[in-house]
Amino acid sequence: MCYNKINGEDYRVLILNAAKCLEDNENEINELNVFPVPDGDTGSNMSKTVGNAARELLDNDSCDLNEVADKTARAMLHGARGNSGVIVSLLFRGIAKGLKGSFECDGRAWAEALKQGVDSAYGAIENPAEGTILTVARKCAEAATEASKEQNSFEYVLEVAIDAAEKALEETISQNPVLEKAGVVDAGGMGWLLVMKAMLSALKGDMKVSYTPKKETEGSQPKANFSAFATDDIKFSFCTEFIITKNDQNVNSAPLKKYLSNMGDSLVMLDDGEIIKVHIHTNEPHAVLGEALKWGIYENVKVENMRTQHTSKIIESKAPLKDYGFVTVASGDGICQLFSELGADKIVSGGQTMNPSTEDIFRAVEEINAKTVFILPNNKNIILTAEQVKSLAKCDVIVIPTKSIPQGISAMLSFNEAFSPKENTESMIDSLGSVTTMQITYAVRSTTFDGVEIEAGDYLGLLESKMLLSAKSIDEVIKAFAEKLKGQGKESISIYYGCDVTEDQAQSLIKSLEALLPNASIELYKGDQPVYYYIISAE
Amino acid sequence: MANYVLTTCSTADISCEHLKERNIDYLSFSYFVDGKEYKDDLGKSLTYEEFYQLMRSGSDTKTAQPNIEEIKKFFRPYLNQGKDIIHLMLSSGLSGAMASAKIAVDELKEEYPDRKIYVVDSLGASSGMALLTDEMADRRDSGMDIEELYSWAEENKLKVHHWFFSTDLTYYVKGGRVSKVAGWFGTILKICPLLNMDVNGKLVPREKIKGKASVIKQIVKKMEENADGGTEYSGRCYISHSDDIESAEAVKALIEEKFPGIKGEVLINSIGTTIGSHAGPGTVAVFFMGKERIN
Repeated sequence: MCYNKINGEDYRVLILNAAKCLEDNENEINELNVFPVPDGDTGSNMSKTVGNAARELLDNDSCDLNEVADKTARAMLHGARGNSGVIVSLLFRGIAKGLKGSFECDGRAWAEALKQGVDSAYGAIENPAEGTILTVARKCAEAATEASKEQNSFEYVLEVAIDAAEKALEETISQNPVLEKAGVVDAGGMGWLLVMKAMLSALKGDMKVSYTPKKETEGSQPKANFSAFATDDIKFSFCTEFIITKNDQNVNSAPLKKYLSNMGDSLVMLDDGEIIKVHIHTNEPHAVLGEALKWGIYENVKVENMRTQHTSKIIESKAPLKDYGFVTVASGDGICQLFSELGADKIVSGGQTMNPSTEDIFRAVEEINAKTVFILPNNKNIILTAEQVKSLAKCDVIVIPTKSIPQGISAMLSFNEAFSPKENTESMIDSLGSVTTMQITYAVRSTTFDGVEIEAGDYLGLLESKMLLSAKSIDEVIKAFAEKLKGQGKESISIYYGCDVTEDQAQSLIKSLEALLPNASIELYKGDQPVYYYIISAE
Repeated sequence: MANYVLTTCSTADISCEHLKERNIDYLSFSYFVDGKEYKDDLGKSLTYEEFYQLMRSGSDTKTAQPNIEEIKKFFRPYLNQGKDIIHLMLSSGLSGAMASAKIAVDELKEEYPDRKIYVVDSLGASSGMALLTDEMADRRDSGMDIEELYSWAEENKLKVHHWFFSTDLTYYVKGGRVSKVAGWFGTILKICPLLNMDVNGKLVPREKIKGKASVIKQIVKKMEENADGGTEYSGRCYISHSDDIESAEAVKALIEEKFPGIKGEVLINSIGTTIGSHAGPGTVAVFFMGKERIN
């Protein structure tokens, strides 16, 4: 059969399938990331973003397209991770806007929705770069508009759009010099093509739901980010209830009970032969649901985050309203300690290799209960994610676009409680320009980047996040940094050494640096940060 | 020779000899170390070294402002001699002595209806008071009468700038002179907060500076920005410190390098036992004349 129109129920299946497809291809997309430091996370970010919507839709039984599309967009907005994830969430927000008030969607409506999605994404991005997911999504939407004039069929429009997306994706290689050098297509663009393709394959496969949420990776567990909260007293976060109709009435469900008893507490399980009813408090409802699926088909599923409920209670009753709050993104015990000493209320763990989600930051903002909350992303890939919090939070949220840990520290140092939000914003942004940051890491693979030849295992010196040089020894990197500082009059140097470096090694680095910059005063701090051996700032 | 006396407080943080030479008497505050009361007599009962050593070893310190009777007792001998008095009092933003002095003066005026007694609320402290006292002494010596001197002091007191830094604000907070605000106590980053005295004579933390080397530069930069004529400044400059002579000397050297026209030597004084009780060891302060404080 050919789907000329789809309704809400169908849309749900399309999204579930897209989530599954991204999950299956996560690593493949990650590997397209060409940046030589290990941050291949585009696939993971997109998968988590769309996956968040899929989880939300699992127990959805509405066939009102308007409602389902809105739910999808909201879930993605909350779960958006990394730049690519945010863009995907923006595309779906636009699509939801396009489908507003519709019970069904035909070819023309779908083309219009895709166009709205693209408009919404372009509108929200400061400097849209071509040769990225944006280009792919735009060409895809343009082709859809043309196709809908020929034939007002959802399936037909989607097919044509996919052809266009495929072509656009191929072209990204030549549109972006970085991609050209590495000889790969854009990772985010690839992700968007897969989303479209997964939707089509759901149509062709007569709408079978093949999505089963899989266990989340360690980095994204709420525990990692909210360890400081009293809400931690709740050992298992999700109150999970479901009913399944058994595939085979004669099968003994004891193994399922045994499995569940290891997954949490407050377990109640009833097997009346026809159906199994389960109630459990667990941290891994997705795993529980996935396992239970082996025994039958869901009749209904209900998952509630008790931690959120508890938290919102805390906010209502306890946390006193204060004028200012700070949420900062950081990793490494030393760096985190430093930020909290400077007055950061919440530290969301994350950085280069692990971008926090909008939801992570949003929750931290809400828990502070301040009139104005400043967010310091401390990484250029997290700025956009942080910006999204503005539209979700009830309080005033100001993102200070800090691109490195030292910039974050400078911003916090220049904050003064006695000033207005506007004055503080100005002085914090002003402070960013006075810091020069050098980060030293290692190359995980050989490549060419920013015109620099890199061999696997090399030390890489990044100046303000840009590749400065690749060298065989740290001393060479330091030398280049000192060279860059000449004549700038920046004589206060701070070195934060990472978890892969010993204090002795750091001390010997100070000696080299002192020889190169005899007038500088150098301070050493234990940062414990991952990925970067050293973060060095000069001001 | 003027027919009036100029007096100041023991909180002016300047040496006994200096005051004697300039013919200025001082009103003593009191302080307590581990419950034992001392008169603030500019380091005679307890030397500054001993005092800060006790603080560092954990001794509890408190202060007491002179009460109405003590103030009257301080003024009376001069009134008996038939002299008028102009007194410079510790900032009303830091101490209640000014309020006591007003009552004391009202009562004394009944006793001595022919005498003039002026009390100036310095809105200052430490060697900032010394600087203003010296400026007033200059004018007394050049023949200014007491009314004119009083007006001059009122008009110019807010031009005395007080900038200071500390490696540790704990004592300030304990004594209630600075309110505890998150972020100003970075021990890992060795944060040295830079503060100044505001238009109400209260202490206000202004900037968080990483490390002593940087804050020494920054405090001199504040002087460049605020001193009369910038680096052309030709007035007095005083420094006071609580047991950190090394930093005080470093600040002095930098000031002398940047401001070659300064009047006389840059005087380094020890922060005394009254101010020191609330500052603790590790404070360095710079005082100079500039445009009127606006906030």
